[in-house]
Amino acid sequence: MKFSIYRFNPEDGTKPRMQDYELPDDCGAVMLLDALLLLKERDDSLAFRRSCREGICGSDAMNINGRNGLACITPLKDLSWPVEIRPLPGLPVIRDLVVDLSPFYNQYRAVKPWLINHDPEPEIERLQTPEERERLDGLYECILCACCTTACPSFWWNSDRFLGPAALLQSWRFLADSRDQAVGERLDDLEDPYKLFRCRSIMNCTDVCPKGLNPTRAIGRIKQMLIKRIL
Amino acid sequence: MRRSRYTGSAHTGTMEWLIQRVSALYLSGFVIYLIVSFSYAPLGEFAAWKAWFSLGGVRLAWALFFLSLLLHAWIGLRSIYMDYLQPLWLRFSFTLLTGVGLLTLALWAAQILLQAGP
Repeated sequence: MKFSIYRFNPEDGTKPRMQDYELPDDCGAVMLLDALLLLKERDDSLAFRRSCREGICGSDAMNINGRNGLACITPLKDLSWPVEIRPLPGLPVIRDLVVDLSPFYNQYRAVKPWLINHDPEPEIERLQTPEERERLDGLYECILCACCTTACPSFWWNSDRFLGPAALLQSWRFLADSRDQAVGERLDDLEDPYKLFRCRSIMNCTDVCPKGLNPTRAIGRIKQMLIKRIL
Repeated sequence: MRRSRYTGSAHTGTMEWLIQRVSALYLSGFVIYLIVSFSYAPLGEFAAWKAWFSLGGVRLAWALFFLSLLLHAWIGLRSIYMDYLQPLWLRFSFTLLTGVGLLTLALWAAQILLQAGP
C-alpha cells in the first residue's frame, strides 16, 4: 500500500513537500486512520489529529485523494492507489496534516450557536412537540469536522467574511428551533452580501459531509426565511 | 492569517439576491416572447419596426428589459469581483469602471427609448 503525504514543518525552514510511504498489504489496517497510525509508528515526525477513531469527534478530517473526509471512517479498500493525503484546503497549515481551525471556529462562534431564550428557566426543561423536535434532525448531528467548509470555494476566497456551510447549518439549526426567541436578530445578522449570500449552491459541502448532512438545503431554508420576511 | 471580521450586517444581501432572480425571470421571459412573436409575425420593413417601437407598451417593456439587464449585470459582476478580486484597490477600480460603464449604457438606452417616441 503506497501513500503520498503532505509534509510541512515550519521549524525546519523547508518548503512543503509530498513524502512517499509504503505499508505491506497484510499490515492489518482496515481504515485509513489505522494505516496512518502504523506509519506514525515508523516515522514519529508525521503529525495529524485523531481522537475517537469512529467518526464522532471529527478530529481526523483531511483531504484524501482530492476529497475531504474523515480518515477513521474511510475504508482503505475503497481508495485508489497510491493514496494522496493533504491537509484540509483553505486553512493555514500548522504542521503536516494539522491545520489551524481558528477561521472556521470564528465563523461558527459568529452565528451564536446556542439557544437564546429570555423566558425564566423552567423547572425541568423547555418542551417541544415531537414535530418541532423533528425539525432539528439533520442539523444537530454536525460534528464540526470542517470537511464541508474547507471544500467550499466561497470560503476559500472570503474565509474572513463568509460564514461557511458548517456555521450556516448551525445558524439554521437555531432558526428552526421552536424554543429560540432570537429569530429576527439572527436573520438581521445574516442579511449581508458576504455572510450568507456568497453561497452559490454548488453543493460541495453536501457532497463531502461524512455525516450525510445537507448544509445547502439549510442555507436554502435561511434564504427562504429572509425572502418571506421582505415580502 | 486573516482574522474574521465582525462588521455587523449590510442588510442588502436579500434584496440583491431577489433582484438578481426577478430580473433573470423577466429577461428570459421577454427574450422568449420576442423570439416566439417575431417568428410568427415578423416585422418586415423599417416603417413597421418604427411603428411598433413607438407604442408606449413596447417601449415600457424594453425599458424594463434594459433596467433588468443592467441591474442583473451590476449585481452579477460585483458578486464576481467580491469573490475573486481580493486587493481592495483592484476591486474598487473594477467596481467603479463597471458602474460608470453600466450607467453610460443606461443613459444610452434611455436616449434611444425617448427618441423612439411618437
